[in-house]
Amino acid sequence: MNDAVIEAHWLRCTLGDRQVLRDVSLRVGAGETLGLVGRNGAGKTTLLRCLLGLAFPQGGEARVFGESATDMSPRAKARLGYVAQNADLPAMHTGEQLLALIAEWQPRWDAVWAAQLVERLAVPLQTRTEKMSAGELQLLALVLALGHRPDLLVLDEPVAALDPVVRRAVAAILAELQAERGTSIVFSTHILSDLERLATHVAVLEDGVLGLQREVDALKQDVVLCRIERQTPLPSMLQCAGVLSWRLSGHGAANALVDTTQLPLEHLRDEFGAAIKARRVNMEEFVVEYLR
Amino acid sequence: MSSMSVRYAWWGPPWQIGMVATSALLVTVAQIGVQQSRPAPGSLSQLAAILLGLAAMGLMFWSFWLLGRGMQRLSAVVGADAIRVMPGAAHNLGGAAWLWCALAVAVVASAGTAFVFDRDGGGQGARIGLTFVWLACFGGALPTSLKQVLAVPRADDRSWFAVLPFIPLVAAWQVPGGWGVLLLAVLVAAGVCWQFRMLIRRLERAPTAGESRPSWRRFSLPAVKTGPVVRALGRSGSILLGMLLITTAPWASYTHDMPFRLYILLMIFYGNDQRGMELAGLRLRWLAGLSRLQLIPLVLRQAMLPAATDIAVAALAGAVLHALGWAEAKELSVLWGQFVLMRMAFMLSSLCWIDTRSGWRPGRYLAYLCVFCVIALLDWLWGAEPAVTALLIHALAAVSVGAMRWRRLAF
Repeated sequence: MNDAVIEAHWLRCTLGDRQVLRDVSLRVGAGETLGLVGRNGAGKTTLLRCLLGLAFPQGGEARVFGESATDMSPRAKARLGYVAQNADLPAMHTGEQLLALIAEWQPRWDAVWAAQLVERLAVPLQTRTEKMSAGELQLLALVLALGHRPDLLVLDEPVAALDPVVRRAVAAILAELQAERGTSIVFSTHILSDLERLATHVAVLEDGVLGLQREVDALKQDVVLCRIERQTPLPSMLQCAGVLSWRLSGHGAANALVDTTQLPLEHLRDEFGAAIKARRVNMEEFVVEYLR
Repeated sequence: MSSMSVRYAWWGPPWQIGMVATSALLVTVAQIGVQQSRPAPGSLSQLAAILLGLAAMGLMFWSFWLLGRGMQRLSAVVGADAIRVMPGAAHNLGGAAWLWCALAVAVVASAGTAFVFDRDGGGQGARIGLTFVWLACFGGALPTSLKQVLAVPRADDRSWFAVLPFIPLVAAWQVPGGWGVLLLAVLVAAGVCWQFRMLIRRLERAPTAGESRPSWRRFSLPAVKTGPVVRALGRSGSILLGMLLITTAPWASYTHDMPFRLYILLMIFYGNDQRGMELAGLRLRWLAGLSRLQLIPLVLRQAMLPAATDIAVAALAGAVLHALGWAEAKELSVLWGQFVLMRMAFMLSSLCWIDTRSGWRPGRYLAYLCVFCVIALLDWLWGAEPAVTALLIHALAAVSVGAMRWRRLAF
């Protein structure tokens, strides 16, 4: 197993009366790209903030590059890039001024690479941040996070405000960075095609609980969507090892995501005495079915 | 990367830091010059003195802008997640000292210079110099910046503490020879440095387990959940104190200090700007497709009612000041007239504002421009002291404000 860039153990976080994270454990290895998905309010942003020491968990610990996330050294921070969900960049600055400012704060800043990014993403450098659109701000935030070629990139819905063409350009840049430097990437998204395109691993957060963390290729290989049909009624819920989701879809019929490494289809067939049609799923189908 | 370069990044090059203090001194010296030379009304020397004062004021505004930008950086470092995780930012908070030091230097330098050079003038110069800096720190830059840095929850919550800075200033006025003002300057400088130190210490404190937010968020001004009564009291209080400040200051000669007077009025509004409440609803309804005719009752209720209340409070404040013998009737009536104009202009600007999708600024700056012109006209009609000079001042102010903002007049 490769070195862990991020490790979280039993993270618990409560905001107000609401428990946002419940004993979340997570690991991201060097060179991995983890796509974090979940429904709105599932706790994705809070998890990312806890991982970076921006929010303080009531329990558990997160470590980045082996250091405690809440007490990261400047050296560790210099290896890190982060794009927050809301690009909250200081007003009264043009993009150019902000780049110059951040270049002073980032010891590993690569001005040539940053200029290339600006050109490829068509960031309006002469515009002041308060006059930029949400998409332009997001692009500028991306350049600020990528300009020092970080070893770890954490992106909280980084392309939510971007058009499909720019989204593709961003994906290409991230892929390049990963191929050239082995950058680890953690990103949350609702855009499942990006997940398919970028992620090597996927984690699903459900109401503050990390339901699943898996390598994408393995998941595609091992998990199948089953249509189970029989004459008599099926149980409304099914909790057993290997069944990732279970949804009734009529009298005596159900759809289930089944991990065949834990539960061979033959066992399922024998258990229910039902006809089972199974097929592989792409990431989009998997996430939708899992979160339903 | 040297630590110095990180420090400069907070504020900009060192020359910008020096500029704040220099401009404070220039404003002070220019105002002392105007006060002490007492040139004949309408004379060229008077015009020169006034222009010098205006130039110094322009420089001061430029400094405020730089200060605001520095504050934006500071608040981003403590508030914007993406920047907080950067190595040079969060671990070099000490660099923010420049910001507070510049303020402190400006306050002390301005008041100190005036105190030294204007002893014979009864400390009037000191008062003038300090007032500029005071208003810069507390009337403009600081409340806004503190609001961002200390996370004051709502914009309108500023109204109650916008009043506070005026109280010690008015009190210091009463001490003869400028000693009160000088003492106040030192106290202010010490106060901002102390505040800075406290803020930095809070920021550097390790987070306590269980805190869902960084500790600095807890360090905030009392987050008073203000109701309409408290807000109204805050606004009324600041109007009253602002008028007291303007009318009781011995240097408030009508002609020389007109730009300054307008500036104070603007600052009063800055502290209790009600545009958010007045305009948010209007804009929504306009976007929802209501016609201008349909908007009229809403404008009356949401914009004119607060305006009328403020105007009434200003009139009442004037009456009280006059009854106490602290201000002359003519002075008060002129002031009240300006107040009415400015308040109405703000109200009317709301209508301009809702016609633009680019924000409230075009309407606001158009309103400034109109107010400057109308007041100049009023000066002339009222037959006040050298009307031509006053007209020139206001025309210049109008042109400069207009020129700065012409691009935003996107009607």
